Amino acid sequence: MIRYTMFLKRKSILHSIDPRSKIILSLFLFVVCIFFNNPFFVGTLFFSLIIFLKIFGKVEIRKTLSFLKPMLPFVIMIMLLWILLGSEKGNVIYQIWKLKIKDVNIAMAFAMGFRVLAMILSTFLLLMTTEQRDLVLALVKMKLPYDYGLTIAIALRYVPTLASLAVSITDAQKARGLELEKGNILEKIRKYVPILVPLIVKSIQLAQELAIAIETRAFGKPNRTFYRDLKFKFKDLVFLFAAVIFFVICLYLRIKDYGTLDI
Amino acid sequence: MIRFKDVSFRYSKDQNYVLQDISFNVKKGEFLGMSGPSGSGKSTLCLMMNGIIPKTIQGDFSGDVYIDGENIAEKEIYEISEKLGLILQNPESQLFSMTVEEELAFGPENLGIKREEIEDRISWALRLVSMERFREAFPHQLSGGEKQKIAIASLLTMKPEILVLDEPTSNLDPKSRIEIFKIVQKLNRKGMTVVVVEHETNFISTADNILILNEGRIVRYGTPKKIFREADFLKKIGVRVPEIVEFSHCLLKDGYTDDIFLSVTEALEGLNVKSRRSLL
Amino acid sequence: MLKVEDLCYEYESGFQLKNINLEVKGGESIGIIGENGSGKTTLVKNLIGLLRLNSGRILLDGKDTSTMSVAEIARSIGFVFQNPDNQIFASSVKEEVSFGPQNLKIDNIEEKVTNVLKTTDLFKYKDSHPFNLSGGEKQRLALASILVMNPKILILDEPTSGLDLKNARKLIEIVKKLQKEGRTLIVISHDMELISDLCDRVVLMKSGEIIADGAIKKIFDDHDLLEKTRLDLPEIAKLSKILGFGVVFSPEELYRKWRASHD
Repeated sequence: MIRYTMFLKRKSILHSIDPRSKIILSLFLFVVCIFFNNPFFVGTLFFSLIIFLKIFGKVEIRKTLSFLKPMLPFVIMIMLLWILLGSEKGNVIYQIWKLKIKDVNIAMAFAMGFRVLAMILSTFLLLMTTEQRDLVLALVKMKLPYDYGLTIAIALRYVPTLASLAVSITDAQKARGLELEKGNILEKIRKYVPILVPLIVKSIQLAQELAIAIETRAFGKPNRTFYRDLKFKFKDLVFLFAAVIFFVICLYLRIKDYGTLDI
Repeated sequence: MIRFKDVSFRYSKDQNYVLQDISFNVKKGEFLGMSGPSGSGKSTLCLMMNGIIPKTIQGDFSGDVYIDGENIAEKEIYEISEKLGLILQNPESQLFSMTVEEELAFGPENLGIKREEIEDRISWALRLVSMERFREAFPHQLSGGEKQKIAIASLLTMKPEILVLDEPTSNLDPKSRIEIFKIVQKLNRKGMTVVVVEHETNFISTADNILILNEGRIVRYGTPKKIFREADFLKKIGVRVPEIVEFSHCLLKDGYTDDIFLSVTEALEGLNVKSRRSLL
Repeated sequence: MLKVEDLCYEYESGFQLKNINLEVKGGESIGIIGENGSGKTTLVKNLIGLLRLNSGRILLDGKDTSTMSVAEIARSIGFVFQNPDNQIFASSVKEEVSFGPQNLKIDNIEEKVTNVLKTTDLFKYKDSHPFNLSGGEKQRLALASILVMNPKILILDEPTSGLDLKNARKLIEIVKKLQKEGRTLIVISHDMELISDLCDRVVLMKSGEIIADGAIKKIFDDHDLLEKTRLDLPEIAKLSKILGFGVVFSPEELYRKWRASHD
């Protein structure tokens, strides 16, 4: 089974909060991650987010980690780059040939690693606790034109369709002797042509039919109504208020130069 | 309800006309079946009924199409869609929402219907296609037959008076096919005007009238009995004939009957096998 | 030729094939029937190596296929997928058909492609763009692109679905010619008339198991079996059953029987 959404069905406070408040929290968290570069600060932020998700979103820590796992190679690469190509300052603690490994750069590598993880998690937090349709609806309510909202929703909707189409096409070509694993990099890339061409042709066909289907459902008539609605309740306001306070505190700390390393 | 008058059409990129001199009428509450070999212009004809051709897909168009007495040339597609719903062959492209419920809400939302009314219409439409359990389901995870039922329901919530189905079951298994056609028949009995395009003529043998297209022209039009009487002609141009009809042609040829049968029941009556009818 | 012993296979989603035993002899024509989701396609995907069984084994000419790659199996078992649009990618019909033999590094490709295009009545289109072919021609192209690898066993998945009378007849004619040449045939279809026309033996599947295997008439005369599988008989078969002639799938055959009993 191909997973088509990150949404996890739970009965939690975080799930019940209006997506608009959550979008703003998510944005704040994302920006706050950039504020600090002290590895202990950013690390604390990252672990707090995991615990926050556990307590308020009822998302098991194991589940959160399993979502983050595919991102690890990317994070490790960033960390290695910092260790090897970081600042000229600091004390050399280890040297192999010409590569000097410095204490400052190790600290920065951890800070950057945690920063990327925390940034990813602040987005995931939104996606794990909000249904896609509510997310799109929230964006439309936040004055995104409906056409754009519909486009985003449709794009998300057809991810699994195209994924299973890609599997069927690959199967069909394998049955004609296509071996994707064999050959050097150039040959491997060329081997994807027989998969990509039918996939693109069928996607275009799907898009054309889709356009007709949308038109037959009276799309474009003025004065559209919305069946689903979002009601901004008192608790959503409280949540939003808390997010703003959190952001302001972080901003204050940043201005006072807490949580940063001088390099 | 539907009236075509001397309609001809040629796609911009093509040299030949896909349809030529098409004129026919569909009365209110009628069930019209349409068939013809591949490439005879069936799908093009369907797209003309709500104005997609020539409004969205352009080309050389002449003639007039009237829906409910009004020439659709002067109307927007969304205005026509209120009266006429069109179902296409591939259900995957007709279900573009995250959940079944939203799919069914999309049409009435565009029409500006109030929330409570949409709510009622969704429940009503799901009941009509017996899909109540799937209200919260994700369309991608439904089977082909279920998807097509939801596609039909998503038009029903717009309360159209006419439903046009372009080969709605050609990629489905026999069971789902029968289910879809039972739904279509039910809607027709409730007074809806229905046009069904099918190359599997089994499913249109209960229609009031059948129209046969070949090479862009109407070559036959009439009641199923009249149309299927000319089985040899149909087969010659590449249109399937129901097996029961073929069987009755065998009987007809040797003089065992003077009428053709369209269903098992009719065949049993015709052959005077009354005692065995209970077996059905 | 092909022997399946105690094959078991389980999807992540839980659907499984249970203890499949099947022997296919050279030159035989077998129809696989059953409701949607009964496991027909899963079984065939196991046969051609796209899915790998959990237990049991598949013997191809006495050789266990578990060590063979999909491409190696494709030399002996050809699977024509249902939807030709899922595999067409080349810019000419000739090139499209050459794809399989090129992958398998077969000799005399040119000559083989020419022969196969003649067999499938596509030779006149050899330089045309495959996307410009009609639905029926595309279906024959898919057949040609498998046939060109000269597999001893040919598997067809719903070969006539969506085709009009002329194209369906043409395809059946070609398949019958292949049968005469001694090729082993496996057909998956809902179309009982097609199955009864092409196959002498039928394998009936339900919920991942083979519940019957034998002569087509024997299986369709078995009331309990049909009840169990909830398979719908075509109208003509229903009529012939009521008339007391057992199951018959062609109108002409029913008429012969009716006349014989009538006179």
